[in-house]
Amino acid sequence: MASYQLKVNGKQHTVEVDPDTPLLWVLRDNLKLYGTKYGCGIAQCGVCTVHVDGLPIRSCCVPIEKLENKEIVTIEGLSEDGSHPVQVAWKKIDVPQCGYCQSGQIMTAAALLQRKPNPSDEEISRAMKGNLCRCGTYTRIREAIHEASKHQQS
Amino acid sequence: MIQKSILWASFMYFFLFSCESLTSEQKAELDRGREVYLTHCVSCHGDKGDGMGGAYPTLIKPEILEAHTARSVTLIKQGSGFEAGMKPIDLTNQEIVEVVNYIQNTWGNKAPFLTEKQIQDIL
Repeated sequence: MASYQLKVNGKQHTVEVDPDTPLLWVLRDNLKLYGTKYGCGIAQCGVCTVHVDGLPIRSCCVPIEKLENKEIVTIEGLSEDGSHPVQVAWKKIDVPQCGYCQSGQIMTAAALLQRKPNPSDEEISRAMKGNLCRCGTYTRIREAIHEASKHQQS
Repeated sequence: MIQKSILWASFMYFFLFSCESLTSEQKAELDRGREVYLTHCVSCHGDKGDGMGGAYPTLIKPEILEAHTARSVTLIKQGSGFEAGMKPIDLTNQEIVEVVNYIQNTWGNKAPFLTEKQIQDIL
């Protein structure tokens, strides 16, 4: 076990964990941030996506020892009151079905809109390709990203 | 005087050679490749391509050999075959071209740009 200083959603935390503990389990078990979900555990499904220094990262496969001094943002920290343009669009379009993959989808979409404020259909498809949805809500996800893009620019 | 001229000529040659610029199509290719990289590779190999210790290898090479390219393409398409190793990634051949060109021409890496035909030949 070792001690690590983490900055998550703007707050400093100290955690005592093994160096190779994946970020996902530190978020869920140590910091009790349950919004980030476990899916495949091998970085293939995108359910556990969070932002590390603004980039969409699969938290299930990143060891905690690599994350000191990085800015980590989870779905809980995207906005204080659900007012992030992607969250607003998600509600408006009523995107989720079962909802399990949605925090990962939203985090990937938010990171995409930071890089590309007005993405095309193709750019959305390519950026969201790593996030699986077994309910098949892909068309609503695309619509919501366009909606969030408009909301963000207005 | 002669020595100064030789020194100056060497400097200019080195300057021009090292500033070899990319075409607009190559820049666009690298932009597309970065998007593929951010979607599928950055979690393990990092934004600087330097990997994470022994678990996720660095993608930075002092020299890119044909064998490196072939291995990258095979790993993306088929995975490593090891239980705890890299899994296959569901990319089109076009996306593989873009991401391999990005990896092989970023972080100081340098290699000729590949075409889809070359990727097909490797596969």
